[in-house]
Amino acid sequence: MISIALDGVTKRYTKGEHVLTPLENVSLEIASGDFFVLLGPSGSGKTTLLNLLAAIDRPDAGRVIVGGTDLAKLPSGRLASWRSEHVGYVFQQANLVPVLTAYENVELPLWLFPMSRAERHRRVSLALEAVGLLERAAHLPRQLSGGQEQRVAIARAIVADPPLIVADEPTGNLDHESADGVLTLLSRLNVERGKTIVMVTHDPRAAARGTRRMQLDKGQLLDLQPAGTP
Amino acid sequence: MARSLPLDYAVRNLARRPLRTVLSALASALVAALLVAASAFVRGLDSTFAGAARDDVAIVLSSVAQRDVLRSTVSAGAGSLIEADVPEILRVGGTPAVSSEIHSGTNVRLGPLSEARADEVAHPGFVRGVTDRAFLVHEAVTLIEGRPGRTGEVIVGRLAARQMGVPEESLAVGKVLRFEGGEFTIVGRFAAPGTTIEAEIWAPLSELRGLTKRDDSSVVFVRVERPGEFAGLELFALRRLDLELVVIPSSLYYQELVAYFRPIRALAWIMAALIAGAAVFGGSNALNAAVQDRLRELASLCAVGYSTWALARSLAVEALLVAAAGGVAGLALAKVALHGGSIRIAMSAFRLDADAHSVLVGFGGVLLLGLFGTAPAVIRIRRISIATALKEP
Repeated sequence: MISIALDGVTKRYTKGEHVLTPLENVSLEIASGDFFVLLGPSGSGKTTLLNLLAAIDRPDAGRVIVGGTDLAKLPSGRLASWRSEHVGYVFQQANLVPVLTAYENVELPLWLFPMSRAERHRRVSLALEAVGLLERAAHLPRQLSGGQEQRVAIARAIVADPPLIVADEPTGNLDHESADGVLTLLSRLNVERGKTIVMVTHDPRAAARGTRRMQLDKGQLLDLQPAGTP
Repeated sequence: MARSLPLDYAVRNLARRPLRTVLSALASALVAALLVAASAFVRGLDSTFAGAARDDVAIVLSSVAQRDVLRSTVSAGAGSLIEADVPEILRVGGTPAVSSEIHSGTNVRLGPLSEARADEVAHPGFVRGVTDRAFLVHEAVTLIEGRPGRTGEVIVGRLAARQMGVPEESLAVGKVLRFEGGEFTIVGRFAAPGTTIEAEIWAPLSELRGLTKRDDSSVVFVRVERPGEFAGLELFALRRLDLELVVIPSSLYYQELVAYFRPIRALAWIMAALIAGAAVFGGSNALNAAVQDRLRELASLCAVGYSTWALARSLAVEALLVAAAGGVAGLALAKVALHGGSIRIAMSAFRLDADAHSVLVGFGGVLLLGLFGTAPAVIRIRRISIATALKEP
């Protein structure tokens, strides 16, 4: 279980002479066990916010506190190991390693922990079973459909049992059926395993799966009605 | 915590761009072979001169010859005078280890005069006029076939053919050579491992004197009882100013020869370094291209929790695997190419041998260069912006 707090977060990018500010003085709290959905137009800073939560990027101002850790103060050398212990990242594209099988892709995060081969096998099998792809374990990514690849990516995100899963447009490249499968999987992880999920999406149908939704526009957050509320 | 990517990742990445991998491995093989060859050349050159040097042997030559044995002329009786005057001389079975010799760079023709053709070629050879006493001062010399030569006969070193640039069988026992107007039958072959002597032809001293119309010797080799005990010999040279002699310990003489060939050694290494540099540049470019191709994948591995150091290590493993595979092929190539090979240099020749030291230089060198070639890619990975790289197409 993990809670998240953003306090006066500002993030700027410099492109040539232009300074872009996708996030300006943003504050937000996400409770442990939430399925938080972030909506917004392209370039509104959704992915930037997600990257800050996942310790992939640092804010220029403000604090990002995840599970009690102020990520802005975490030394650079600790960020990678913090990510491996606390966050499972699901990208818009599955980003699987093409030369490794589905099994080996899912196993990747486990190499970061001192763990026996048998234990790794047990966890990878459970993760693949959870996403319904155990029988595809020996397949290379190119032998899988887009939906299957994304499910393998989800298995990779959950295999080390991180308390937080961040998903950046996880259904953006999928057909309806595959998208439904992925969203159902994320809902189950939230409900059955208590994972805190932060998902960025354009898709209103995907957004409907969240327990809480917010809109990010021009660097500012707007609270939307809870899912299911008329 | 174990924080490295699995070895399988590095191994399988090599198959992603087979042509690039093969070309990099070929470049590594070439560099390894060149490093082995350069090392074998330099070691052969050094050991050839070092092998001929002995702490208990001095060379007596003309003080006006500027240490050039080919230009040196020493009175024919100098050897006998030294024997009589210098008590430290080693005696083997009562025979003093003093060898008066003529050293001559000359043109050697193959076959008897009766079979000579108008278009026959003269080969540059190094002929040493000696007596049986030469074996007392040049201990490295061992007859490996036949017997010592008498009048009208010669013995040849096993690298003499190579030095002259003629086929081995041309200098087999029983063959005939002609030089300085004389005709000689080869009656023996000798080895003198790791010395310049191995590329020489040994003829009877008195006969060579007659043919070259000399009544002197080039040098006198003197072996003393204890290493470095040349004071008596030097005193003799100082007292007999009329003979105009200078005494040089053979170790010093050959050291000076090694120094003389230093620019050639340097050139060998420079050539190897230039080619190695080009290979490193090529390999480095290939790795950089590999990083560019995989930027998003590498960023996603970072997002999973791998540090950029872990990615850099995996990349280094890839480079080392290619370098090692190429290195092994290069060593095999060098072994085959150098097998039985020898190099002609000035009036001598020496064997090329891919010994353990050269193999270590070749293989170790190529691994180091492989590692060095990863530097630009490693720097690039270390500077990777995960957020930006995740957006790469």
